[in-house]
Amino acid sequence: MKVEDKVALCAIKQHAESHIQLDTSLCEKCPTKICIRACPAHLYTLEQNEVKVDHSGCLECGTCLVVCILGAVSWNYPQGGFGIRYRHG
Amino acid sequence: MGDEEILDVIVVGAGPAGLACAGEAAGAGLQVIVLERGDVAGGKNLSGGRLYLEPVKDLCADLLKDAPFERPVVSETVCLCDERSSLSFRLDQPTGNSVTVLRARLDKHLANRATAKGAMVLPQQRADELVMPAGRVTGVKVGPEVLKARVVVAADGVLSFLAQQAGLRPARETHTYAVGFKEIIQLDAAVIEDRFNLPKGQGAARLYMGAVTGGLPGGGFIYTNRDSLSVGLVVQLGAVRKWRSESHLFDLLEEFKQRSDIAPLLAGGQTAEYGAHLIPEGGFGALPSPGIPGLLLAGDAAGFVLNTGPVLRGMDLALTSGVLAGRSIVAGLKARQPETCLQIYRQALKQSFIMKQMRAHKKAPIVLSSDRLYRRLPEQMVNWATDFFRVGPKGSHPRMRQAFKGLRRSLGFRGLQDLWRLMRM
Ligand SMILES: Cc1cc2nc3c(=O)[nH]c(=O)nc-3n(C[C@H](O)[C@H](O)[C@H](O)COP(=O)(O)OP(=O)(O)OC[C@H]3O[C@@H](n4cnc5c(N)ncnc54)[C@H](O)[C@@H]3O)c2cc1C
Repeated sequence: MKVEDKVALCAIKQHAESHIQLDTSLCEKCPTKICIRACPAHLYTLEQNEVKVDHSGCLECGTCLVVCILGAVSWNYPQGGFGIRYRHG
Repeated sequence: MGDEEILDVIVVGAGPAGLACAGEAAGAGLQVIVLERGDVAGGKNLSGGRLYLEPVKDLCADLLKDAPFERPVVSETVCLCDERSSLSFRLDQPTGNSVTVLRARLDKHLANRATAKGAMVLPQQRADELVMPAGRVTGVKVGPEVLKARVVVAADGVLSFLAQQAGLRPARETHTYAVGFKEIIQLDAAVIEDRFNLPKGQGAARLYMGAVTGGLPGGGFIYTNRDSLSVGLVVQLGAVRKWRSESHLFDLLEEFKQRSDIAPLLAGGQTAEYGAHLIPEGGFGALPSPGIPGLLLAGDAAGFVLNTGPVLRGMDLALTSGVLAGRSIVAGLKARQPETCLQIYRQALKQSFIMKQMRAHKKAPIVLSSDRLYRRLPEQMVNWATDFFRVGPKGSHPRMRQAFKGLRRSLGFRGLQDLWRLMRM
């Protein structure tokens, strides 16, 4: 099963504004770009050599915030009432 | 809530820590509100998981009464894995000392109990920041609104932005966190009991160590719920940061599910949910101070998680620290000395199993971050067992004595040292 299909099973109420911001000038210099391989929801991708993040499937775990070596990720929880809602947990 | 009103207690976070604290304080007659950013209590929360009952059965008897537990764990298995095979140790007992839980259900129950005791649980409210003039916390901001309280409790979980703002967790050190990600796979109760060889209504826990995490420190788990399985992996983020691999972390979970010793357990099941959550695994050495004037930390926000390999505990520590925080606030406020709450709490923690156990297991984070435990050791144990059970083409199989000698040889000095460290941990 693809991870995109797994994320699609989750109940997520999307906020139009992203709660994840990247300082891509730092990402450019990042030797590992570990966020791409670490994010459990596969939100990070490399497009034309630039790291991109799509907040819409975010599980709000904070992995990217904690593994980023360069402090390029600014991250806050989505506004109250938005984001993931686990039905099982 | 009028502008000038000062509440007794604001609790941020409706997880086990926050709700236990709120129930305790409200039950003693204090005015308590709980702010929760999710739609409902439990909507943001995820564990493996199982709750160890013994530490909390007296302290939280009221809170846990009629709680919606999934299954009591009567069957414990630890599996050492190489790429294809696994060697298991299994214990089956008539009764267990932990119960499997699903957080959406459990936390909702805890919220109902806290409400019944008089706490007000407000969902869809994200506490944005602490109000702390002159180094003392006097309230929180929710959007443009300022809510004031005599004491604020940060029970806002592993990432605790509030503890960070208070200066209690200035840098988030990668090696003190692990990430867990898991699926809920639905299966009939009877099928679960059949496959895991369980009496009706009873449950199993299976923990996997070795190749399942691609050599990263961590492990895999399967917990049986009433009519679903929790199937997932936990890996230490410090190692992930240095991970040399073409794979993504989420690939490891798919590979785990497809192993020939796991797939039959899951066959025919429907994945109903996928989730991920961090775990504070820094242990005793990484504990922040449990508060500053006007602010107490409880649960994950305070770093209260014990991981000793086969046992991972956070929920019983969260519940306990929540109750202790609640009691300390009651004692301080009833004596009209709110500034003493932190000192009372610190003392209560020190005397509780939380600090005693965290201290007793303080070496665990270091021992458990050794690569060899996940690469070499499981493989060597599996190899040994393979030889032990094998009858060769010349019709021979090893004598018991030879087999154990072989094990010692293959483990070598390093392997024995690993085992020794594990045992002394
Ligand atoms: C994969 C995995 C497996 C685990 N397995 C086990 C296990 O088997 N046994 C065990 O005992 N423990 C286990 N744990 C650990 C356990 O889940 C945690 O220790 C426990 O949930 C901590 O409870 P808490 O109340 O401190 O925090 P949480 O349960 O995280 O609750 C924090 C709450 O605060 C809310 N919040 C956060 N910020 C704000 C804000 N600014 N404003 C308003 N609300 C906010 C969140 O939405 C959440 O509801 C596991 C954890 C994981 C991730």
